[in-house]
Amino acid sequence: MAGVISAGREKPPWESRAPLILGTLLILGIAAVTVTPIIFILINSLNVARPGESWRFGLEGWQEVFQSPRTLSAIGYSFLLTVRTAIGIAVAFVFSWLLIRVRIPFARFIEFSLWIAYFLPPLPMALSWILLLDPSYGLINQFFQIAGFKLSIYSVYGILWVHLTTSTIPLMTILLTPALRQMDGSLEEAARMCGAGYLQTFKRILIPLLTPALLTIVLASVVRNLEAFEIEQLLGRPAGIYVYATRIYDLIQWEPPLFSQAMSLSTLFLAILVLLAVFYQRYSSTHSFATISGRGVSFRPTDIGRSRYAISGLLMVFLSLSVFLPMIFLIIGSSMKIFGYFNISDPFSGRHWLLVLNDPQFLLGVRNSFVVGLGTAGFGIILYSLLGYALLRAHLTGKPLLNLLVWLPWAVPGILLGLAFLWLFLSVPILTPLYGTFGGLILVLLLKEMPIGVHMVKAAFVQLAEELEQVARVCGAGWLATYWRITLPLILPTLVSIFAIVFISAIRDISAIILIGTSATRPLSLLMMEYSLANQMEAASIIGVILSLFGVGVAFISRRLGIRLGT
Amino acid sequence: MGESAIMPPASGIILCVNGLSKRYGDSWAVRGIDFEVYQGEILVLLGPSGCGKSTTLRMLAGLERPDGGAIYLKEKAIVHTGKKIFLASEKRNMGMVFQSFAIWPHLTVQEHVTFPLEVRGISKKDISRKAKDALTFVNLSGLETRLATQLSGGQQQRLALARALVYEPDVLLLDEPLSNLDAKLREQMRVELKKLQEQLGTTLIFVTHDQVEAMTLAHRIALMKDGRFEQIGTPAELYDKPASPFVQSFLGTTLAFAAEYTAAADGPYLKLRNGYKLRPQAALFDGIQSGSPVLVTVRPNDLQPILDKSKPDDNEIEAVVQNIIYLGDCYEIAMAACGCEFSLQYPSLPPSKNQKVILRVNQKAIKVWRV
Repeated sequence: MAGVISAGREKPPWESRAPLILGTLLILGIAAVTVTPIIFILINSLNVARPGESWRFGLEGWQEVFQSPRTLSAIGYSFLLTVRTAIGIAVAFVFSWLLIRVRIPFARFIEFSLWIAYFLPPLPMALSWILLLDPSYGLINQFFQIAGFKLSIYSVYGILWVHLTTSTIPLMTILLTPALRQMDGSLEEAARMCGAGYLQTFKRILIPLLTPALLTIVLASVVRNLEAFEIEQLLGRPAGIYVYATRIYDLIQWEPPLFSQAMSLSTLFLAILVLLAVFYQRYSSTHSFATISGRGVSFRPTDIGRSRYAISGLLMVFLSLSVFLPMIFLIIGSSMKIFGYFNISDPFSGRHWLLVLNDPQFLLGVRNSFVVGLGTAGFGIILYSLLGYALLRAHLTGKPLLNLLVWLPWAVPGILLGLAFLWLFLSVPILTPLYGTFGGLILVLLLKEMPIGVHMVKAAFVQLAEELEQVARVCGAGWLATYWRITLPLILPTLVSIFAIVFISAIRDISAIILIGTSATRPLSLLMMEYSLANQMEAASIIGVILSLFGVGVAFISRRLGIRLGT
Repeated sequence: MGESAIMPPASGIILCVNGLSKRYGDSWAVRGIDFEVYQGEILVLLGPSGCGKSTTLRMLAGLERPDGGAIYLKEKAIVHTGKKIFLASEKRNMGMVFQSFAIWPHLTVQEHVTFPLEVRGISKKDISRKAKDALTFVNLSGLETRLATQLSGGQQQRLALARALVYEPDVLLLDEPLSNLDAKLREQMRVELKKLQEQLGTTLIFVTHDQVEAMTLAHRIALMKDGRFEQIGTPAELYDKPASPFVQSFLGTTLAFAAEYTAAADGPYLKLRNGYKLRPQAALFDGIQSGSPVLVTVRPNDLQPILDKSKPDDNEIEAVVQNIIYLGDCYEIAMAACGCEFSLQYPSLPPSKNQKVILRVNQKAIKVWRV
């Protein structure tokens, strides 16, 4: 046997170092785009020079943060508004339990409607609520006026209400239902057989078993809440309520912009968010949504007689408040002569639609939205699938670090990402050409969507048994043939879904691009924001209707292709 | 063990493994094993879960990189860690059947068998002929256009086999291929697999944890434990001349008694707990010191119940009947003796519960192990 070694392909010595080289290259590449902005914000919080001028050390930015009453109150409101996480998780828990564990009519329709709620852009929903609850012309307020009181959407309660109904509760329910569905129902049934009532089963079996899932969702939601921007901008500003994100935008709008204070405030919140996010990732990776099951996970929803209609009704009422009512009033608002004025004679007209559809600004916005959306989704699908593949299947060094870097933008709010890149574009000469181009917008959006995109690719790969690829290799297919003929066709549905989701996220984004979008590249979302802030509500709601329809379309596509969030 | 014990004729070595080892973190899954596989034989890698048998198979397939050792296929090194040789899976011309069958959900039956031929760049005409032959061979002709996921478990198994055989691999690797089938189908597939191998003469390396499967299929069995080979040989060799108590107990129910060896004037004997004496063949005691503790093993079917006897003599032990189960054609009696519990089959009406029975131990079957 000895001495016969020739035929095997001799591996050149460097090939054993390939994983190290590949790993290092990927880490450096991703760090360049995800860590640089953060470092820039950090450094510039200590800079008192303006962009373009040379760096000058100073603590004025930090002093201003702690001296400006408006900034201090913004910090306070930021935390106060995260109270919606607590309300949201309690409601979402009950909703998802009812959806999974009780046999109720229209369960599938309700679940799908929640899915639609998740895909609807938040700003148009807020416009619709203005139509209903504006203190002067809100339709509901006109009824309440008879009773002698009125509600105002421009308040802490208003902001909480819009967030809770349009995104917090639907998203949390969507994330919780798979966790509940995976949990073997016989665990609960066993408790019931032991003599525990519903309440005790909840308290002693269900909640402890679901704690990891609940805590993960709560943490994620706190981080998300601290990143919210446009609803606060639209509903908070008129009442003098600022959160730190809208305060940062405010600071940049000053002439000259108060960059150093904005950067200091950003640093403060980045520190909080990164800490939360690191804790989240450590927790979720050790306590992950482990499948809690006895044996085969099958659960027969309980039959509960007549009260099932009541439960179904309750959920429908919520959906009406979160999806249908705002959608309908958004459409109504877009076809009014004057937004909100129902009591003038003949209040409806298609005039605004005609005006907007013929407006060159709008047409440019449509084009820009498609360029930005298709560009982000197209490059995204390539980048995210390569990264997902590298993280799960490739042989390379430093995967945990790469994973962390890929996921870092998750903790960076859009407005901070935008701020960092604005500064980078303005102060780093080689990057300056990117300012005011689609390339710049797409780059920022690619980064913002990277964590969720890569996560979905990874989820697809996890579901795809590695053996399906291995068997192809053993029967003679090389790496490329295996990828092309086995892996790609099998994950294609997921990739199409990711494309659709990234597309819709890109065209509805406001916070990440509001500071770097210019009049030439301004997509529909920014145009809608500008119209709303300029009180041109009719035009804003028309764009809102169009963006919402895109959202509904994507909800259908991704549902059809069976994508799942969370697990 | 009949036919399966006979070595395949005129067999050259097709696969040779030297010092193969694999480490996961700090623990060694496979600790430097050596073995040869002969052309046309069925070698079964047998062992409890976690013994390293699947890892060994996956290293042969090129799905795991060994941390040490070499593999030679037809006298060519396909893996040699010292010389940094590692041939990719697709270049080894091996076939593999996975436990999960690894059926591609997006391809039809026909596409499964043509895939390996297409990636080899074989001409269209040959592809359709070979694919047809392979499907006929595993009894799947007529189902070509079906999606593979629409097949039953047994059919998927046969398809996985056809896919692995269609390009005539040098060695076919099977990783617990029968464990996903129900008991009846498993037995049937075992017979089919054996027949198939006899017709084709393909070399098979088969991983299983089921000793019955190993016994019925194997020309030779390599029994693994903790990443090492405990013993490699024909099923008969392993059964009759086990190299360790582990081998003996893995291949069938085995009773093990603690005993003390005494070299007395009237011949050496073993003293069991309760004072029973066993006098096996003297040759077994070579190199054992008088007075040292030993382990005695014997199989239940080497125990013969003696009726109408109340005191055990030499080579006899006393057992207590614990339970009686009526099986239709016979009785199964659960017994306890010297701290060991076991079952014997009784053709006629057995003694009643809690009664004492004298069992004679077949002297030739006794095995003695140093502790």
